[in-house]
Amino acid sequence: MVVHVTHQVRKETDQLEGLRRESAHLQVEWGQFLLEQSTWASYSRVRTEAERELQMQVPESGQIIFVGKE
Amino acid sequence: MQQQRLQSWRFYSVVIAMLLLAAVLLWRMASLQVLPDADRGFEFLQGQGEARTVRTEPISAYRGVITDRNGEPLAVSTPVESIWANPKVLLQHPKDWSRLAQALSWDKAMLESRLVKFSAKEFMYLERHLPPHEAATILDLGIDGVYAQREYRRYYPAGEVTAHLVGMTDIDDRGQEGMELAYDAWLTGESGAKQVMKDLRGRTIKELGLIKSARSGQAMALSIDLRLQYVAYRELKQAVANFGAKAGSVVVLNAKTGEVLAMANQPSYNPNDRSNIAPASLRNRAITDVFEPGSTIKPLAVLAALETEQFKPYTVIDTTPGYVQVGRKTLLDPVNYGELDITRIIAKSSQVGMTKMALQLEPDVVRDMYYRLGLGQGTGTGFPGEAVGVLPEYDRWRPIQQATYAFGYGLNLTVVQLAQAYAVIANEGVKRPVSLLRTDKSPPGQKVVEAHYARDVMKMLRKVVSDDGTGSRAFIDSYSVAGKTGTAHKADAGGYADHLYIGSFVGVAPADDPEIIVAVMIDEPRDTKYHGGQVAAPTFAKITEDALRLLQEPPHSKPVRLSVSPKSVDQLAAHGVAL
Repeated sequence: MVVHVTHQVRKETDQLEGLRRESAHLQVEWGQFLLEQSTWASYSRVRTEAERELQMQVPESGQIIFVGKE
Repeated sequence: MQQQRLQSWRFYSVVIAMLLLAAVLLWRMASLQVLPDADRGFEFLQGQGEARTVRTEPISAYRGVITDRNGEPLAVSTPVESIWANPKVLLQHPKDWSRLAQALSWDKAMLESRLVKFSAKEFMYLERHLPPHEAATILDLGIDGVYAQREYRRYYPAGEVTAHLVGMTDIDDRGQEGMELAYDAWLTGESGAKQVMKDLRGRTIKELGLIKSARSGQAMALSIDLRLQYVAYRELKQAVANFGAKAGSVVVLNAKTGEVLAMANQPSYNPNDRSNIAPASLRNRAITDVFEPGSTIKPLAVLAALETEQFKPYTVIDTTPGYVQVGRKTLLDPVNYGELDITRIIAKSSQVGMTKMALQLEPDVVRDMYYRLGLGQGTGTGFPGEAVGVLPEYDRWRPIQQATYAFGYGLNLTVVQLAQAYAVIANEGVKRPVSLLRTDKSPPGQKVVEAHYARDVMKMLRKVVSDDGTGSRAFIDSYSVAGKTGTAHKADAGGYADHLYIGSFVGVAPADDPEIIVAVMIDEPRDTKYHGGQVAAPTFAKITEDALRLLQEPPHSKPVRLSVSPKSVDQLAAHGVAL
């Protein structure tokens, strides 16, 4: 009985440790993805891409139409 | 009988021998298990046992992430590996050197010379901050005496756009500049360690205890909005390049809370590549550098004049003949403006008008107002190296001192202080500390001026932006703005330089219900254009228009309205469009 429980505890401690390692690893990966995301989605890049690739532009004040409830 | 005695002798000797053996056994057992300081006793054995099973595992902790007010990352730590060597060990394996030098892409001679240089040491860095996969290829060579050490490197996704405000860390991950330095203790994580027991296959089977608990660095949200920061930086950079200026700063404040929404400076630097950073580009000029403001201070002096009730916005002052003699100095207007009321003195930025007004006031009145608006004091940012400016006080005021005070010479301030002072006017006389951190509820303000005086000054500032004001280039189609231009001669050795100027513009928008304060300062424009209305006002206009649109402020001019029936409103709502 004691032997069985001790063994069980050891197995689960090992599992816990493995999960902790995995979480640390995922955290690292998250940080790298975060950087990648902020590089690709940086506002200056979005703006130049929108203007160059999609020919978008900021509307003049006369071009803005207000939509309101009746 | 003889035989019996013999037998008994033999019997006893055997018993004694057996007892002796048992005693030796007991002694040995005791020396192995109980006696504390026996040679190779139980301490030694237990130590050996633990050396084979007990391991100390590091618990890693990160430096906290710095984000903008909406959670966009501005500074993130990512793990990197530093390769280090034990020269004493490595020197014994000369045949590995060429492989190692190749993996490091070093010259073999360089590796040798460095090994010789550090030959008395047991630690030397070979390469710092390598990406984990590159470090792994070096370690996979399996060279004795070469090891890796995990470290963290700071990356700044927004790069030069937020460089001054966020600052940077040194190679050992300690804050060196900016907010990284100011809040270093808050951001720093402390790695911990714990003891664990491992079995033959390296599996952790038991946690023995914590040696030192890890403390993760805390995250920090700055007050800036990265979208506005980009806009401010882009327009400032453009303006500084266009006018060939030496430097420039922009500060955007939230009028209601005193939070800094954007703070940009030129020249800037890329914190991700430190190989060629000029020291001059490191300064967060908006906070650390002072300048004489010139005309942008005039509205503050007028505020002081209004408070005395000696002057009203419609009080007329005769500025004929366009100059005035004070002591030995002659103060000039560009042309003779004739009779001007206080409102038009501000709109035209008349030096003569301001001088005549200032000389009729008690000498301390203007200085006292400046002080109440925050000049000569810290703004509350807590930024390292923040300048407070100089706001001299005199026992006996000479008339020229009184006059120059009112039009912005003889004192100096930072761009942030200027923006804060305008925030008081925009905020109906309530002064709030400037914050570089996101504040969820605005700090309690301090009433420093009666609301109606501040409102009067706001009305004057709107006139500056009208067609015949000095700040007409600050006009924006979609939003109402108010503000003031400034053009100051720079002090040089022995007086004011003729051809060195600082052009500035501080504005408030929308003028009806202020949301933001935008202060622009362009240092030494090298163009024929140097007036604040020419160099700073257009930059103000571009930043303000984009900023208000990004903050979803409805435009002031409403040319076309489209009305929709309630039914289509429902349809739109079903598509997630809120009206």
